[in-house]
Amino acid sequence: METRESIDHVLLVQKLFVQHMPQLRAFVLSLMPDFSQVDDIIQDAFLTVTAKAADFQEGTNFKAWVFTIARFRVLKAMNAMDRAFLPLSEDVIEKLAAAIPDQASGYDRKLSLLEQCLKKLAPQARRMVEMRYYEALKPAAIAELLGVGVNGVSVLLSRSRVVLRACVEQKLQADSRFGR
Amino acid sequence: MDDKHTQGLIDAWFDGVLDAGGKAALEKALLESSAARAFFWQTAQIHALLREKGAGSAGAAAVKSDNRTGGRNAVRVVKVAAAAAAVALVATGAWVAQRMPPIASRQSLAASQSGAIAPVASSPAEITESRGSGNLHVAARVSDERAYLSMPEEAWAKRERQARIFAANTDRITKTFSKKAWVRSFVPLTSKEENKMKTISAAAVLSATAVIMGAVMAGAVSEPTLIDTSWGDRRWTTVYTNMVPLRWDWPEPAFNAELNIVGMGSGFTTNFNEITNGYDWQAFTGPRPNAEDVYDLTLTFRDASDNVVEALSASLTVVAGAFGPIAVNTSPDSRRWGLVKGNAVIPYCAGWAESTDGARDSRLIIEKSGGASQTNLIGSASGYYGWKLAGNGSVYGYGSYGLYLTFPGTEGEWDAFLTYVPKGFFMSIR
Repeated sequence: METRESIDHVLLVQKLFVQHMPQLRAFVLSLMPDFSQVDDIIQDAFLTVTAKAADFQEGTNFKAWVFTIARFRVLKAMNAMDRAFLPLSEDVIEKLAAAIPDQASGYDRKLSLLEQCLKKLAPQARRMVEMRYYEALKPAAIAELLGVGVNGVSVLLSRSRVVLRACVEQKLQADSRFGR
Repeated sequence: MDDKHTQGLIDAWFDGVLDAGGKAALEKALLESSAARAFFWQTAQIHALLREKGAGSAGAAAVKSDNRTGGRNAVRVVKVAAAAAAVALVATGAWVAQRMPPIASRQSLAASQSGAIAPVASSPAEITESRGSGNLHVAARVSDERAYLSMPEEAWAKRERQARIFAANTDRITKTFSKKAWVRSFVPLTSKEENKMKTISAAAVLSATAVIMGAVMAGAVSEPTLIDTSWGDRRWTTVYTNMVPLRWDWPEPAFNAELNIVGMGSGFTTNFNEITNGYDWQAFTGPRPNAEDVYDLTLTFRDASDNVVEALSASLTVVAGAFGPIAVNTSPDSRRWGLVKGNAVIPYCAGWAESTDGARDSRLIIEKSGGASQTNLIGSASGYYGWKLAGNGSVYGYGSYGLYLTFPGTEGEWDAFLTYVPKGFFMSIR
């Protein structure tokens, strides 16, 4: 029977899930090349966490617990994917999961800064980034639509990510210098 | 680690263009080098941020993508589902008088301090009308911009951002939250009922002032709530508690009363043999509902000779969306949107399309291929319809169905088609 304590516990677990969502999303996005499946996996993880809330003990490592759940969900989704997709092996995923940095802090600020940084990209690079991330197109499709080579697209996307990362980090450092 | 080579492999991985040889090399690097893992996460972070940023524009992208393939189903399915996701527990009707003898002594509806009652008149389903017009205009007139505004992706992205901000600030929040009452400015009533119900409608408006939320969630974390700005929308009557206080005035001649609550999945009846002015109904147990449902509530007062003195009705829809944080499926391509595994709670809202925005009531036709057609006249322009497809008491069976939603007096039609098979429902909506 549901008690007030068990209800509160479920709410606590759900609250923790929301707090860890940015990291979790980054984790799942990193392992799943298919953007459209990421939300399904996050949703599955959320439902699993809710159903198994009683298994979580307050004060223990929520992050480790929820990432384990997400990892299993990712593996399950990978197994169901097209054979053309080559997933990372389980031991690699495990190793990566152990090394995930704390990305939750300042996530919203980073999103805001990213908007500013995107404006600094060259028009062609920005268009490619938008096609890749807004329209979920792969480099081959972008190349075809823009009439350029696939390698060129890959190189430009790679450089753009480096530039954007550096730009966001630079602005974050400026924030901390000026106490924002 | 060969930095440049590894970085190239990681970039290729994130762009989904890594071949088998490249993948093996990447795995080797990730297993052996902490620097490679660190770079992997650095790239992952910007990758996730960009995707998050892109998700806000995914609605527009989905529309474009859908147009390229010539179909609109995915967009429509998402749009319909968005309405369900945005709402938690919805009291979709105040006590509204049904057909009965003239009301001489009806008093105003009492406004509970913690109640969540809103004034909506409803008409019972009529199963006699047959469908003769075939497929009407599909709601293709709705502009893509308007559809985009209704897409859940953007709302979801905003909601998530707000949730993060809220979660970050949770420690600073010490007081419980509450929301002020909102009074709807319009009570839709059929013309037939209008004369008899002047008293009741005015009182019903008063009852709407008592919408107070948060009894159960007080002190806990509540996500920001999606706000619906459609003035006639029942979603204004959303409450966030499983305890629904029902309140009424006992009519003088009444000797006893019977409260009957019927949902798709459950129901019960209780009797009052003395003057009673309220009943606290627990719509479900636990922190969130086990299943979504639409309940019809009927309160019948009888005199000492067992004649009906007065009958009041209301309805309440339970949807899972806002009982605590909930993950929302934002992928228009997800198969989940096309799969329903139980009784269906179907949202309807005239505000979905500009051309129907002024409608005051709705009509839902359910047509079985090679079988009967059922026309449901609904005395409101927005709300939820409970379609009991499965379990005891269902009059439906396996087969193919067409659903046609229109708003009388306006043009345009939403339609959906599904096949009910033993393992579930497969639905597409356009």
